[in-house]
Amino acid sequence: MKKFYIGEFEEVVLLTVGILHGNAYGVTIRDAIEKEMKRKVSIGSLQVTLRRLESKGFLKSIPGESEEARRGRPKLFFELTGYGKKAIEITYESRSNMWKKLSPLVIRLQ
Amino acid sequence: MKDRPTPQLPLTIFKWFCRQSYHADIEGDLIQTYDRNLNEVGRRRAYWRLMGDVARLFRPGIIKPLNLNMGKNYQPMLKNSILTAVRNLMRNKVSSGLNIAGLSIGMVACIFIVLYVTKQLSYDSHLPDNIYRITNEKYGSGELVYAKAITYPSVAPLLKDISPEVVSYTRLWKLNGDIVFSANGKELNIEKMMYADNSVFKMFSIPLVKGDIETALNAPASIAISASIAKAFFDSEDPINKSMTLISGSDRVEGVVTAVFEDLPDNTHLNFTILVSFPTAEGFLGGQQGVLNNWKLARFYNYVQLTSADVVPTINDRLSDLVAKNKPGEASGSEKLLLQPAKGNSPALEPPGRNEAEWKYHYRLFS
Repeated sequence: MKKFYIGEFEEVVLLTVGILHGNAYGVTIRDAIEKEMKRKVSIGSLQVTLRRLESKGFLKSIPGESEEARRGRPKLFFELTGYGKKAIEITYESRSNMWKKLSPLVIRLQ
Repeated sequence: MKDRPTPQLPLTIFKWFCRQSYHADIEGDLIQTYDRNLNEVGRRRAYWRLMGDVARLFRPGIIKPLNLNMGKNYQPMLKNSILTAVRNLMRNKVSSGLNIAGLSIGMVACIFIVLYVTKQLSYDSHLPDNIYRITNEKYGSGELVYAKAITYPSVAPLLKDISPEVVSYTRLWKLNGDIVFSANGKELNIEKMMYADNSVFKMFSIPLVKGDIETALNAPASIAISASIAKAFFDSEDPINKSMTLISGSDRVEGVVTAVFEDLPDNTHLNFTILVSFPTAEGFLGGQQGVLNNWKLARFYNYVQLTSADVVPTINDRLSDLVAKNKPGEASGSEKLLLQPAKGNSPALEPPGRNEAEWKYHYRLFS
């Protein structure tokens, strides 16, 4: 289980890459996270997380063609690997198990 | 889009620190974001947002690894050299074993010699300048019979009387054999006990832990002890004004502790742990009236402090005058008193002749 452990931001990035299936590269991932989570994400922190997830094997990168819209710079698309899928699944399951055990009363209590 | 130029500075900075393999696509992201900002918030703010993004990319995951060998690749060469060396050593086990053993023995010997010589050269280097000991040479029919570091107790006081160049003097007298000291219910055999003039502390810069440096050894039966002796006798109690008895056979002197001095370093020729005031000597251990003032009992170390090293020949002349005047029976030239510098001299300041030989060897090891 330990090798599937991921941090909160890593989880968000993995989920976003999954949501953007096929069109996940730096700019779109950043836009999607900012829209979904309503928080600012710097290119730096996003890129570092992407490269780390790739080196851990949760993501794989596919180089794209150079594009006119980016003044000739290529895109680098990201995709979930089997490990990546398993990681977000495990995270989701463990969270929902805990949610089931959490009595609704506790949350309503103020 | 192409007609609008990209800002060069932020992208150049980014290119400079970014890993090469990450560079192209992240730069693409930067430019795409910049172009979008350009349309939304204008040129100036888009530029500064780009700057901010580049600054926030400056972090460990993105920065390229330091290239410490500056593009020169010595590792394969070194690896190859080490491998060759090891193989050669392995092939000639006997001769390489001998070589390594010989080299290490040589290095160890060299280190030991350096340590020894450094220690020898450090002797008495902490003493004040211009301190001289008066040595005594005896000649019989023109040949040296002996040279000693001890001489008569009257020499230094008389010399000071007639010489303004002598700042101060001090005399030390070591008794043969051990003296038993008794105090605080304890008895200790003290080997390194000496009679001394009170000026000894000032002349050799021996700091007093307790007691008055001006008067400590003036009165008869005053005793100054080193810090470690004080601890041995009195532990943590204050030893000042405690009584202390000197015992040798049936001879006893009741004394009182007047000072505690710091332990002497081990790289000095001065070698005492207890000092007893000079007047005490007249009544103890065969001492008699006049024992401190005569030209017969050549048992005393005489030290003088001079105004400068330049006056040494003058003082040596005065010393021979003193000999001629006070030992009228002797043939001229049969006895000489000479100054010998106490600082930067030999380990034990023993008779001058032997001394010099040792010194020559110490320097020869270095040259």
